Amino acid sequence: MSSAAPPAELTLREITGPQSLGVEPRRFWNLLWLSSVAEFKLVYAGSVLGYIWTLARPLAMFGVIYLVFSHVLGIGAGVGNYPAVLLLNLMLFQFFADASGRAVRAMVSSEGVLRKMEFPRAVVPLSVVLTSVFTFSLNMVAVLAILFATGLEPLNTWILVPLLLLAILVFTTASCFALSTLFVQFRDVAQIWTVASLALFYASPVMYPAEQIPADFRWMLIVNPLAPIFELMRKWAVDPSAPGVLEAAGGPWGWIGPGIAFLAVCVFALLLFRRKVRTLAELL
Amino acid sequence: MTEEIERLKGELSRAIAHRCALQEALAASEGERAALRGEDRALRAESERVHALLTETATQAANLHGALNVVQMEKARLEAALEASLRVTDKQLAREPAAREQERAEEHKQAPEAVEAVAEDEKTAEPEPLAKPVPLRVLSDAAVIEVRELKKKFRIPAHQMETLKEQVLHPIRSRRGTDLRALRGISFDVRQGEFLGIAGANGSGKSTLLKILANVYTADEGTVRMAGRVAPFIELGVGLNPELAAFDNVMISGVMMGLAPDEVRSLYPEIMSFAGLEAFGNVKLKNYSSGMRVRLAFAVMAQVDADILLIDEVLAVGDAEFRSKCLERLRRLREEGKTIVFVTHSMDTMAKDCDRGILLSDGRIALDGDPAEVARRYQDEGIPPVAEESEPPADGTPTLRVVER
Repeated sequence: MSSAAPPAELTLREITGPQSLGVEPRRFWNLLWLSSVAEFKLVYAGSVLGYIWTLARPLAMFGVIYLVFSHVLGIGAGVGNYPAVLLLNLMLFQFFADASGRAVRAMVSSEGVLRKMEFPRAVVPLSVVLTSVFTFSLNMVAVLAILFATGLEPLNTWILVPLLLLAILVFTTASCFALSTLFVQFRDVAQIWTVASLALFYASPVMYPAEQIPADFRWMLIVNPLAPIFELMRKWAVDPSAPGVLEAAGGPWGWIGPGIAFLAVCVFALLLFRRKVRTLAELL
Repeated sequence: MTEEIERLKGELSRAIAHRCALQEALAASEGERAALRGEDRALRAESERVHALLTETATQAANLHGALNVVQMEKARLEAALEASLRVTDKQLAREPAAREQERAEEHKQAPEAVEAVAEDEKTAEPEPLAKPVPLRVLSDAAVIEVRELKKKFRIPAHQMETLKEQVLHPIRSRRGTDLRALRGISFDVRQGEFLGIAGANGSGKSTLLKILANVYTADEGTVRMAGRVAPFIELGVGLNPELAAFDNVMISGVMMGLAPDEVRSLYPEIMSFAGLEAFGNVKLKNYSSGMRVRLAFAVMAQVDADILLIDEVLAVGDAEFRSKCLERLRRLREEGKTIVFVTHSMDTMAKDCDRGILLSDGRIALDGDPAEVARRYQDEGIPPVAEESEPPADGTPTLRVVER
């Protein structure tokens, strides 16, 4: 022990401050996996019932919305298999809302680690996303079981659905990067986001079909980057007769508008994170 | 008359009986006394024996101390000689004036006296458990940390811009603010296997320097180059999540320091036993006491087999036993050839354990060299030393300590 040979061949490398991704993909992935699993375990707090609660919440929401919209307001009347559309889109939105809601405080609550340790900073927002992916996947198993039990017909367009999942994953990730970074400097982001994500929920064709939006409010479909995802989910997964993105928005802006908004959020998040990543520990 | 005689006779016989009883009691007590005396003698003999043993132990301790001093003197001498020869051959430092080299060599020659003085202090204080003689380490001349002209300033905003609303309402305001220059151009090298102590008053830039070395802060100017795996211990810890159990925390911290998950898993029992927390592996950290948390953090850092350890004020917390355990562990790591950068307010530790000291003052290096000299200068400058090495009260009442953040 005492006469251990000094470790040989140590090469100097420059220290340039915290990185977002780092240079060791293996370490990055290990770290991301460990922190996501730990966080996921925390959500369920080691109890079987814990998982049931996370599933119960969207299902209860589904029950309420379904009752009100379908039976009281009669909105779902003209929609083919409205319950299936509502359930799937609710799950998608729940994934986005869950991840972005937790991401807001992610950096600040990891303050202890950020101020003391060197590690790829992108792990913090990404582990929030990955935790939500775990929840989403588990929930989807139950939801699909319910949908098949209630007579959902397989469609050829199902092979396109992963594209939608990818799109919402990318958008959610970008939102998580932006929100967690912004909150470090601007603490009112938390309040703003609570309202904004609620507004986004009602502005998206989650509970109602896009074609029922009055012409005066069609612009909501054009500025909302999430709108095409919900419209296509309905068309590709459940009801082929549903209007496409162009028909619902009434023109090419149905694609262009959300596309621009989508890209804008991603680019903003990327630039913001790149700019702030080195000084996150100092700003906290 | 005969009645009277009978009465007296009776009385007499009673008196005789009484006397007999008293005599018996006396005899008994005399026996007891003799026994006690014997016991006393035995005790006295025992105590003399113990005393003799004690003095013998003390002489042995003194002898060992002497031997240790000789070894340390020899070590310091060899190191000074080595350093001097290294300096001479080192082309990189050719720009430094030769006079400075002379000065450094002289400083090192003085070192043994300082060591002796410290050792003398200890002898009077308590017969400390003697560490096994430190084997001579041959320092490799390869620098593992190279810092050049390092500068760092912090912007202290004139107005708190905590909300987006303020940013929107007063977009120009955010430009204003004062700069706090934490580091104003620092250069030094740390060689492999060196135990470098960094001292300085609060606000002199010690923690900022350590955080830049730990790659947590980004330097404004200058370069830092390091070699090998780095294990930081900053602000009393390695960044543990209070919501997670010890096991998850150890896994995450270990991976952050560059180990593979399997390696951390196999180190886990060792870490918990070093921290003395074997029974608390599944307990969430928020239910740990602060001392337990620090112990866990130190254990993780000390066990991950890093090449460079960056340690900020570990001795400011924890009980006396843990502090000595920490120091013991650091000494061992040093023997194994690890490089240690150690921020401390304890000049005792500085003079006793460090190979080299750096005194920071106002973001600059005020002194770089002999740790005993650094300790002297630090104390001369009127900075009250933090009483870290003093024994805490036996009853466990908490004492207040200055903890630099």
